[in-house]
Amino acid sequence: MKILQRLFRFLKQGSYPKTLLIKGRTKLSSSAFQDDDKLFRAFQKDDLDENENIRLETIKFPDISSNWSRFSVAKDVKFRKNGLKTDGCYSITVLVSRFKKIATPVHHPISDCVYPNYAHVEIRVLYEGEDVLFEPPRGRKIKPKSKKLEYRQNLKDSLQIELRSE
Amino acid sequence: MNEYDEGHALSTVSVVVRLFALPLLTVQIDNQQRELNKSLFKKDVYQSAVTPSSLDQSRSILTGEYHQGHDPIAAKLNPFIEELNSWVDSISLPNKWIVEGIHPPTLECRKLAKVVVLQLLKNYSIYPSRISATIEEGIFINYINHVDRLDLSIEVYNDLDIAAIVTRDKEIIMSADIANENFTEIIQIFKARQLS
Repeated sequence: MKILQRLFRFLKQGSYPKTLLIKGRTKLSSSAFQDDDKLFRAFQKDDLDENENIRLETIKFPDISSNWSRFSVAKDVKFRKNGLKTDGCYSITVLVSRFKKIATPVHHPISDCVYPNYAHVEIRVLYEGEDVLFEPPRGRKIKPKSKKLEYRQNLKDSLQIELRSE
Repeated sequence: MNEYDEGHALSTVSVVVRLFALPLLTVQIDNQQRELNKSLFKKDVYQSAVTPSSLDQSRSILTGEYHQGHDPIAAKLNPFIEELNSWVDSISLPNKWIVEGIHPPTLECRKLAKVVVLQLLKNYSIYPSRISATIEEGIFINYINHVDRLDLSIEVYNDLDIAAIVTRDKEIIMSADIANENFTEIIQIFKARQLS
């Protein structure tokens, strides 16, 4: 299996974005995020409504995976497990991800053999009273449901389409 | 036809229905509806929470099995009720979400979603612009108030919780957890001008 993974990696070496490779770099703390840094996320054509807007019901929260603009560009979202060449990309800012201090981005590099991703970020839930620079663990639940819906609605209303899906 | 196309086709049908049939129907039953609303307000039923027993009763009224001859509004609404029931039944989960381990709407969730859309149609004369599966595991229902540029989104989850949100353009006006299928407060915001 590992031989196959190495072969796959060798074959796609030419096209894989070098900025996504780990190259011995370590995880950064939350204070490294700037408010206007972008967080890129992939979408597909069926995530859009008739007005070409992202549908609210396609936005999952929490632990949203995204790519940090500091180490990647929009089209890099295609280089992930289950990624498609036809994928589009939207972005939100770090400031938007910290809406009402409900959540905050956490740098979470993926040292995968096939899809290494140093730019990977997870937007995770903050509990009442926690600072946006705190790094919450993955898997936290958010209650009540209306708070979660409000967060997703704000994300939908604030996002910017970077790359159209085909 | 894939799932997206099916959903789109259903959505197109509902737009056509809303554009042509619903205004005609609304004109016909407008006076009756007003009278009925007045009497309901008098009895303080309109504002009260919907209990499971009253849901059963209204559901039987809506399906035409109870007092069909004595409830002309419900009888006129029957075609729309059938369409809404079919719409909710037809909701399926996109394949990509199945791969991700997202659960489809359960039977109980679909039943509750039907109760919600039928209640909102009967009590407030609003018809969804979109019904689909939500990635949060359940059913998503969207309404648009074109007069006041308001948008109402409701999610009925597999654990039978319900959340709703009203927005205007990109401003969040109100969000709420809905207990006992009581939409009074959020509908008052969504249809403020029509109800006043």
